[in-house]
Amino acid sequence: MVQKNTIEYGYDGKKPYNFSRYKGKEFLLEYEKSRKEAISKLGNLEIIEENWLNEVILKYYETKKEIDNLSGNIVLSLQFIQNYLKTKDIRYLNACLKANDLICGSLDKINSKMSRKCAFTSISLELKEVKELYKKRGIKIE
Amino acid sequence: MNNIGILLYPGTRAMFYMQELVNNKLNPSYALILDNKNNHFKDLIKICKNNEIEYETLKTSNINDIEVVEKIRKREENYFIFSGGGILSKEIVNIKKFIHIHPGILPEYKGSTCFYYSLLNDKNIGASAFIMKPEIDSGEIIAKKVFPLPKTMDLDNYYDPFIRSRLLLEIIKNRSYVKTRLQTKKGKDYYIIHPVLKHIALLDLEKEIKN
Repeated sequence: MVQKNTIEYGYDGKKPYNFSRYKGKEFLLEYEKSRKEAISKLGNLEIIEENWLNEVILKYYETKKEIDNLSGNIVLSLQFIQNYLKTKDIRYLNACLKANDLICGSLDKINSKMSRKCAFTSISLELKEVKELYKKRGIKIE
Repeated sequence: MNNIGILLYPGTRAMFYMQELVNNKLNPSYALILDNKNNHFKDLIKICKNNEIEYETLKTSNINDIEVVEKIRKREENYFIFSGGGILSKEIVNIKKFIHIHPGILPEYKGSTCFYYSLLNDKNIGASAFIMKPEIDSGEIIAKKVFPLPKTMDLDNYYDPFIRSRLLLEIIKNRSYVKTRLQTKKGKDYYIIHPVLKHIALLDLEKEIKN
């Protein structure tokens, strides 16, 4: 049997990040594919506008029905991406990627509409900013 | 090379350090080799034997093991070269002066996987030599150096130990470890780089190598 030569984006918050192996452009293609799948699983939602992010984060815990097991990670992830958008400090994008790996690994556990919208926003913005990073460096992955 | 010992935690970095030192006739006066079950354990013993370096071994992979502390405490050497294996405890750091080579320019790049962060932010790679303190990457600076971009994509296993050993050689040759200066700025702490960002840094490097 011929084995398919594919690289999977296997980060779901369970694998350690240190000494991750270099797999070339295919790895970034797999990352994009995996994030797009997560975005589409979350449904046909709209991204929360940047000027509203702060209010959404601060209001998140006002309604108890919105809180589920992933709430902490979702709010953190939104905060990380907001900090990155404001400061362009790569450390926030790094933390956001890790938080979103955890979220993407448990999408079926997100119950409330608000949480889904926040996760949708954070993952979409993360993907946009990552793509921006390769564009800036003239890296073409397709 | 009198008065400098080395704490060897077998691995690629320890091998690079020892080879660079002995090739330049700067043998440490003493080596303490920890048996962490790494294949390089025997190679390091061989290097010591072939170059008549006094050495001892300990069956532990814990750099803060009480026996490690005691062996080092009893030695006359004032300085010890640190070759990795974790974070040294306050107790051991206070006994001797430990020289560590960090793969990043300090204080700007403290913490983990700084190579990749400096490639992403500044398109360069550097290393800093300093005397260790209990707080991570915060000790007094001996020297810093920016290195040319690598011609290899293997940063973790080759270019990292390579530039560290080069800077180590320079500071030992010049005895610059006796003159240190405090880190004045606070700098930034970095944490293990996410594989996506690591790939962007490496693809950018690959582009540079091809050009």
